[in-house]
Amino acid sequence: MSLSTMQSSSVPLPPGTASAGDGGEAPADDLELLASPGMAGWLVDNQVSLVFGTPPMKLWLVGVDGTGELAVFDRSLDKVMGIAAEGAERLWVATRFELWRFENVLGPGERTADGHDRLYVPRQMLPVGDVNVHDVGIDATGRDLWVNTRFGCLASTSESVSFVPRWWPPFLDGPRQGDRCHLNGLAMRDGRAAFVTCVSRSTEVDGWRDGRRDQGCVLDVATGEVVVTGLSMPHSPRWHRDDLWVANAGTGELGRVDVDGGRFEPVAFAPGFLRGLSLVGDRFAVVGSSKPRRGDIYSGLPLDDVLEERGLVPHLGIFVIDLERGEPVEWLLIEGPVRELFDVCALTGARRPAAIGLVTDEIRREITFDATWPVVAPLAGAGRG
Amino acid sequence: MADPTTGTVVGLVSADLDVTGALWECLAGIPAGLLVSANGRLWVLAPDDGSGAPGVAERGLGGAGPLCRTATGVVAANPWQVWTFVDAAAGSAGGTGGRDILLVPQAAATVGSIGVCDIAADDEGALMVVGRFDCLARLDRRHSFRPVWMPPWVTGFGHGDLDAVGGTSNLGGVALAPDGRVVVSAAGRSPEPNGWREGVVGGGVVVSSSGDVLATDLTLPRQVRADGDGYLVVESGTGRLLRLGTDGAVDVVIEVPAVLTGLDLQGRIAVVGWMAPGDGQAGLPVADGPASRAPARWQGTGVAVVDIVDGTLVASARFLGKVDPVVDAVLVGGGRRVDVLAPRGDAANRTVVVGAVERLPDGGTVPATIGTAG
Repeated sequence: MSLSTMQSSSVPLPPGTASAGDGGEAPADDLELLASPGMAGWLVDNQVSLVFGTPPMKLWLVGVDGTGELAVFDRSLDKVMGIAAEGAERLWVATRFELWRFENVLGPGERTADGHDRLYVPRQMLPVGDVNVHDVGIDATGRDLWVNTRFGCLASTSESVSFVPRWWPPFLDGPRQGDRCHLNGLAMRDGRAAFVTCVSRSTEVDGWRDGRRDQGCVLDVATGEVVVTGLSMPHSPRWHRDDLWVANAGTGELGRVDVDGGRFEPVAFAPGFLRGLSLVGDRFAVVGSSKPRRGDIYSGLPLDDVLEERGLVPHLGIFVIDLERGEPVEWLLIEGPVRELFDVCALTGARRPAAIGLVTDEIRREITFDATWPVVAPLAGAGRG
Repeated sequence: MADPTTGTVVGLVSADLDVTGALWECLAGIPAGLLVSANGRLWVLAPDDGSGAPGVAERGLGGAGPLCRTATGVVAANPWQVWTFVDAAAGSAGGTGGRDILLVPQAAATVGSIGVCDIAADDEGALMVVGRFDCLARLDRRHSFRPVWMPPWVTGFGHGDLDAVGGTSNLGGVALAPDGRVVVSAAGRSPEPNGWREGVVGGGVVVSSSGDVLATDLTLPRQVRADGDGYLVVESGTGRLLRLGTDGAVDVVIEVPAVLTGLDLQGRIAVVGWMAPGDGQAGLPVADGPASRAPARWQGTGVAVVDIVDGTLVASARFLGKVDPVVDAVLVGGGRRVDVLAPRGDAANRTVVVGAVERLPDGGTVPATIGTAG
């Protein structure tokens, strides 16, 4: 299928505002969203909304409004990377130097005056430094666990240091500064780290760049063994309903990994550098797509050849993949001076999410607390009092 | 004691600082650095800036707010966040630029514009005075704050007007005593929105969370700190630092011709923030009395260093020019070379402190020991 044959409905961003219809906080950077005609319906049918980021500055929340039209909400965050939802109540977002924890302050069935059914407040910011956080996961205890690409390890935040190393590939001699293998993806399974992706198994700083075309691999965290190799810049491993899915970004393919057989089985192609993945139900995958540019690290890959052979151009945005048909069926494309998208997360059960931003004074005025607390009482139990 | 009326001016980015008296000698003797929250920034006064000479640095904090020393660093609020700073030099083998204490931003909690007036800390973390909602509160995982105590005369969580100040009773300070007692100051005991304003002169109290009244008839009491068996409290509206004894006695430690706000103690040394009264403080005893006759060195805003045993002014650091008032000050003890990294600044972003390995539950392939760098 060629994108040139797709029909899209445009969701233009009015000059001077930041989003389509739902408000925002910063100039829209001349961005325009192009949605497939069925995108809103697909979100409704599958009872999900989407959150994703486009560096350098945007976090997007896409749902459906009361009339069934696409509702797009954006906020300014510096270089959004990995995103993880922790149930309906919590959202973790990695940015350039920080890990943010957003809390949904709406109760079940509650709506804002604007009709949003989730309102995420950036409740805590955890500075981790310039470590290049990629995928983010949350373990069974609720603790953050994320890919520290610069140090080549899985890491967690701590109360006293920038991060604590939790695991690293056995071919590395430990978590050290300097990106060697470009560890980037993390698949959680039953609340535990299960699989990771890396671009190569280089042990030299920046050595991974030489392996971008075909040295990517998936590792089993528990054993440290290579599950599959020969991939091109694999990203976003996800465990979903007994299958391991991976975006083989350098070929533009989404596929299933035969863990026992050590094979990558392509399921669908989409025109772009695929990374960012969220599985929805039995049938669909939502995958992010970035636009390679000649000379950058996303170019010079097999994807270039495929695009040229098929006469396609790469797109920035989101594709909904029908896993049975093995092709994109819906899409949300972003036109403008941005090229990258790292992660996408499907918010199950959310129809029209919103988030409080950091730019205007709404962050100061959105105040919530439990007012049912018995207010006149000795301070027993509070500290030593 | 050095003459606190003559000093040296330290030129900084957003303001100059006029340092008088034996400030540096005092800090070096503790030893400690002095952090001052003023003019939307955090000012770091260190008796040794790394070169052996005293130094002053200013760090962006996104707005001024109360400060509190903790077991591992400092908690600092700005108008909508509560930041936790941790001393990266503690237990470090190096990499902190020769500093004895290097406070790095560790976490920021979004609390919104709730009017955090003062902070104490214990094993549970920060205990905040939430002025706009008339309560003491903890940080909460989901919400802006978690109320844990409210004065018995208050009937609800303020009036929720974020443009108003002080709620009903203008809670101003909190102290956690070593015996676990929690003590709070309030400008008044009114249950009505802004009711504290009517009786501001002499209507202030210091009470314990268990209902004991430690002092009455105060004018705008603010920060309160445990000192031995008693307490020190800043009486903002009279320019006095008071000592509250266990027998109910109230003694004046020192009186200065300025409105006071902010207090910290290290041994016999206290630091107190001060400001010349503005239009909003008209009618306060200090404004109509001592401040109206104050010499030029009490114009503007600054920090006074006080010997609480002698009741003497040891030193002062006064901001020159148009500077928003000092909000709070804290002594960071344990070293002379003290610095703070500004949240979200280049230095903080480039500083990575790697912790000890914590294995995943299933162990994975991690070797028993590692060497880290960076």
